[in-house]
Amino acid sequence: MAGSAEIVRTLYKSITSCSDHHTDRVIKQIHIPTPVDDAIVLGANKNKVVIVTGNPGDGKTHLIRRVRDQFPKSLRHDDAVKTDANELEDADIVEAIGSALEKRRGLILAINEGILLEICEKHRERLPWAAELADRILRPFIYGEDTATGRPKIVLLDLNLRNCLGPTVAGAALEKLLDLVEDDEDSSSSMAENAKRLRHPVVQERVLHLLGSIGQTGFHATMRELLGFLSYLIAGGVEADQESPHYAQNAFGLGQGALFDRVRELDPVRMPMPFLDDALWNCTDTPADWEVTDPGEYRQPDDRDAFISRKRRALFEHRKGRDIIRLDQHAVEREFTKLKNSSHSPEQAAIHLINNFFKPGATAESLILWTYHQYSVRPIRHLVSRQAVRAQDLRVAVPRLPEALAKAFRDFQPDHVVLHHKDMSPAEGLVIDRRLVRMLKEGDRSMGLGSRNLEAQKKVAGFFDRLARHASDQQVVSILRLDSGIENQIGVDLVSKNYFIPGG
Amino acid sequence: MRITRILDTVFETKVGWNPSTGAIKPVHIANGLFRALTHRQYNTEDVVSFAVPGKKGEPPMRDRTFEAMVLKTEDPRLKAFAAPGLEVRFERLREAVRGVLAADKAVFPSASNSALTLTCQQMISADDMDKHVGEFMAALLRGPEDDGLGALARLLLAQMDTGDGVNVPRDPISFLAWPLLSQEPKHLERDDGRPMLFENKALAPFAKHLIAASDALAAHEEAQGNRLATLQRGVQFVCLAVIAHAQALAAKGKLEKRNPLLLVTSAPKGSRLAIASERSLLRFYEAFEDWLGLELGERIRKGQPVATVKDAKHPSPAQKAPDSLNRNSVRAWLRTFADAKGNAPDADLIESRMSLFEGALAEYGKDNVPDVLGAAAAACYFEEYSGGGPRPFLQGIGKQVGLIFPQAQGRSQEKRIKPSVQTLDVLVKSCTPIGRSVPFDEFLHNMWHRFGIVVQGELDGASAHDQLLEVGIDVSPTDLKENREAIIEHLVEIGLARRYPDNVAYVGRFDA
Repeated sequence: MAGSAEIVRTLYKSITSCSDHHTDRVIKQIHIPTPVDDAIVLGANKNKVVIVTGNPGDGKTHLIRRVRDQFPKSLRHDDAVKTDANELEDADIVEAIGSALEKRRGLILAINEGILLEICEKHRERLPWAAELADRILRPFIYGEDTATGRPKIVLLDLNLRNCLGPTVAGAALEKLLDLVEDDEDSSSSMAENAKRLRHPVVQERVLHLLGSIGQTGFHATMRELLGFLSYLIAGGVEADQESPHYAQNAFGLGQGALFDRVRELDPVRMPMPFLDDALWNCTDTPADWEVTDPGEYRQPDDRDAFISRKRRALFEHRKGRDIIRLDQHAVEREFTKLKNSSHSPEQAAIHLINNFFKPGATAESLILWTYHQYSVRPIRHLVSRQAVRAQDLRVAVPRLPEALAKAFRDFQPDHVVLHHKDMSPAEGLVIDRRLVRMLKEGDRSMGLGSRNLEAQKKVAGFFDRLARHASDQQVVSILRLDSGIENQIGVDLVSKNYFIPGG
Repeated sequence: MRITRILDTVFETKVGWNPSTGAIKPVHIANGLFRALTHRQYNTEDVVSFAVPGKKGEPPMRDRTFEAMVLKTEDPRLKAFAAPGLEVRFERLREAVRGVLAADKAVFPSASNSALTLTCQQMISADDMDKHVGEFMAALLRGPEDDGLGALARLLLAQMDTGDGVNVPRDPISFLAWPLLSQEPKHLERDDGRPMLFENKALAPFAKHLIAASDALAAHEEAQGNRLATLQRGVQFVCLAVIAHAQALAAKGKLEKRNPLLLVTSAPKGSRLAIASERSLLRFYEAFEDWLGLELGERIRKGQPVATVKDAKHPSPAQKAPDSLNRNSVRAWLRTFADAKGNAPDADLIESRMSLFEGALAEYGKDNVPDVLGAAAAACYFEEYSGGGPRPFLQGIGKQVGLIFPQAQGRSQEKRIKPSVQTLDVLVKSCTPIGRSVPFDEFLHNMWHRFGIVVQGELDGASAHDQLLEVGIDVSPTDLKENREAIIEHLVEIGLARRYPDNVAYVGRFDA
C-alpha cells in the first residue's frame, strides 16, 4: 500500500504528539489489538461509564477512536464519547460522569490519570463515585488472599497497567510495522532490508527478549514509545531520502526518549561475554556461529567500531546472542525474582535482605527489628533491638489486578511486592521494589553503611514502626555498633531488676 | 548589667523562651518538654554513672571504675559481671549503653547537667539547657483551654506514661536502662496560668495553624506502633515550631508578612537557589533581631528598665535610658553595660557601640528615640555575644534538627533550608491528614501557613517569587519551578509523594 512505509518512518518523529493528527485510516493501520479493546467495547455495550486513563502517549484517544464503531448506536454521538476529556473543564467532566451514572447511560471517556485524580480528589467529599475512583487510582492492586469486593459502577481502565513491552503487544506491533513496510513498494531499500532481517524468527524473538527484559524491570513504556522505538529500529529516524543504518545499530543508536535510554542501558557493548567478545574482536567467528549471516558485514580485527557494530548484531543474530542479556546476572533482578517466587519462601529472602542491610551475615529465620533513637540529625552509630518477627509470621504479597482488569491486562508485570505481618493489612506493609532492593543490597557490601542510606532506612524504619506491635519481645537486648559491627548482648531480669549475661 | 543579659526580660515577657545559647540541642528541648508535660523529673545519677565513667580523655572517676561499681559495692544489678574475666564485657557494655543513651552528645559526668537521649519519663533530668523552650512548647501543645490537652500533648504524655515501675516500656532502650533508672519522681509545681502565646491575640492565627499541624502529626503517630519514633518526631516538631514562632513574632503575628524560608533539596552550594535559600535564612534572623530591638525600644518608650532580671555576675543595674539621642548621653548610657565577661567596657568597645548606634539612627531616624536606643542596644548585644544570642540559638536548633544544612559545624558559614529525610517526614506528617494524600499545592500551602516555609507557587494571594522579592531575594520563577520539581522528585524517592503527568503530584504516606 503506497505510503504505508512512510507511516512507519514518521512514527518515531511523532513520538511526542498525540493521536489527533492521525487520520482514521492511519489509526486503523497502526492499531495493535489487545484485550483492552474488548473491555472497552464490553463496557460500552453494557451502558457503563468507561474511563480509559493513563499517561500521555498510552494511546487512550487512539484506542477509543479505533473501537468506536463497535459501540452501540446510543453511544455513537459526541456527548457519549469524550476522546480527550483533558481538554474539558473539570465541571463538565464531573457533570458528564454524574449524569451518566444517574441516568444509567453509557459514557466513554479518555483522560490523563493525573487530571482524573485531581478532579476526583477535589470532589471526594461530595461525590461517592469520585472518592471510589480516587482510591482505585491510588490503590489499583489486590494482594494475597484478598479479592475485589463489590461491582464498581465505573469501569476504570488504566493503561499504565498495560505491559506494552510484553511479547504479545510488542510482537503484534513489530509484526504490524513490518507488514506496513513490506506492503509498500516504494519503501526505501534500507528500510526494506531492515524489515527483511527483522522478519527472521530468531531476530524477532531476540527483539522481543530485549524489550521484554526491560518490561520485566518494571519500566512502563507507552504504546507511542513502543511504536516510536520500533519505527526507529526499522527506519533509523532518518529522512525519507536517506538510508537507514542497520537495525541492530539503530536499537542502541541516538533515538530520544525514556525507552531508548533503557534500551541503551542494555547495549551489548556494556555486557561482557569473554569468549564471544574475543571471537568478535579478533574476527575468529565463522558463519556457522550465526543464526543469520551477513556477508556484507564490516569485519576488521582489533577495530573498536567494527567490534561495537558486530557485538550489537550478535545480540540479535549470533547463536549465543540471547545470553548477552540475562537479567539473572543482575543481583537486583535475581533478588527481586526471589521475592516474587512464592514457591521458595520469599519471606526468608525478604528477611535476609533487610537483616543484612543492618548487619552483614545475619540469618533469615526472623526479622530483627533494629531501632535507633536520637533527637538530633547525626550519623547513627548504634542500633538496638529486643524484638523480632519469625519468618512464618510474615507474608510477601505480590500485587494482582482485580479479575475484571486482569482480563484486560494479561501481560501485567508487578513492579513491587509487599512484605507484611500475617495479622497486618498489606496496605501497612513494606513496598519492596527494585529501587529498594538495590539500596538494601548496597547496604550489605560494607559494614553498617546500609544503615546510612537514609531513603532505605526511612522506608524500613517506617515499616518497623508499624510492625512493632506484632513483634515478640525478648529478655535480651542487642546493641549493634555500626562502624565496627560489634554486637553486645545483655539480659534484663525485670523481676529482680538485675542484668544477666545471656547464655552465662 | 552585662550587655549579654539586656534582652532577658524581652525574652521572658515577649518571647517565652530564652534564645541565648548556641549550644542548644533538640535533646535539651526533649528533656524540658517532657518535664513540662509530665511535671516530673528524676534522679538519673545511677544510669549516668554507669554510662559515663568520667570526663572525656581522663581516667574513670574513682567511684565509677569496674572495681568500684561491680566488685566493691556488690551492686546486685551488676553482680552478673563479678565473675572473673567479665571486666572487658562490662566496659564494652558501658560503651554501648553510652552510645545509645548519650546519642545526642548531651550526657556528662554530672547527672543534673545531662540530658539523656530519653525514651521514658524516668530519664527526665533536672538539666535546664532547653532555656524554657520545653515549658513554652508544652503550653502550646496543651492548647488554649486552661485544662486542655491537645492531641500531640496527649499522645506524648501517654507515651511517657507507659513505664510506671510495674509496666516497663517495650522499647529496647528503656528496657536496657530499666534496672538503673530511679522510679521515684520529683513532682514539680504545675504552672496552670494561661500560656503566654494564647495571651497574645496577634499570634492567634499562628497558634491556630501550629495546633492544626500538631493535630495532624498526632494523627499520623497514633497510627504507628513505635513510641520512640513518636517521641522523636514530637520533639522535632517542637524544634520546627520554635523557628516558626520566631518568624511569627518578627512579623508581629501577621503571617503573610513573615520572612519566608525558602526550602531547597537538590540545590548545590553556590547555585542561585542555594544562595536564595541562604539569604532567606539570613533575612529571617535579621527580622527577628530587629523585632527584639524594637521590643527593647518599647520598654524604653514605656519608661521601663531594659531588663529586670538579676545578673549575678554583674549586679549593678543599667541606668535609665536617655530621653534624647544626644551622643554624649547615649555614650554614657551604653557605657553602663558591662561587656560579656562582666568587665567595664573599654574605649574601643564604646566606639564600636557608638557606631552601632549610628547605624540604628540611620535606620529609624532621629524622631524615634526609643526605637533607636532599643535597636542600638540590641545590636551591641548581637555583636558582642559571640557564640550566643538568637541567631546561633535558632541556627543551632535548625541544624541539629535537620532543617538547616550543612549540619556539621564549621563545614560552611552559609546555611540553607535543606531538610533531612527525617525532617521532611515530620513536615509532611504535620501538613497532611492521615489516610489521605493531598495535592502538592495544598501541602505547600499548609507548609507556608504552619511553618513559614516556601517552595514555589501562590501563597496568600502572592507568589513565592513575590514574597521573596519583598524581602530583597530575587530568585527567578524558572528557578523556583525547578525547585518545585526537585522537591517533588525527592519526596517521591522517599515514599512521601506520588507524581503523575500533567504536573500533578500528591503528598502523603503512600503504602501498597
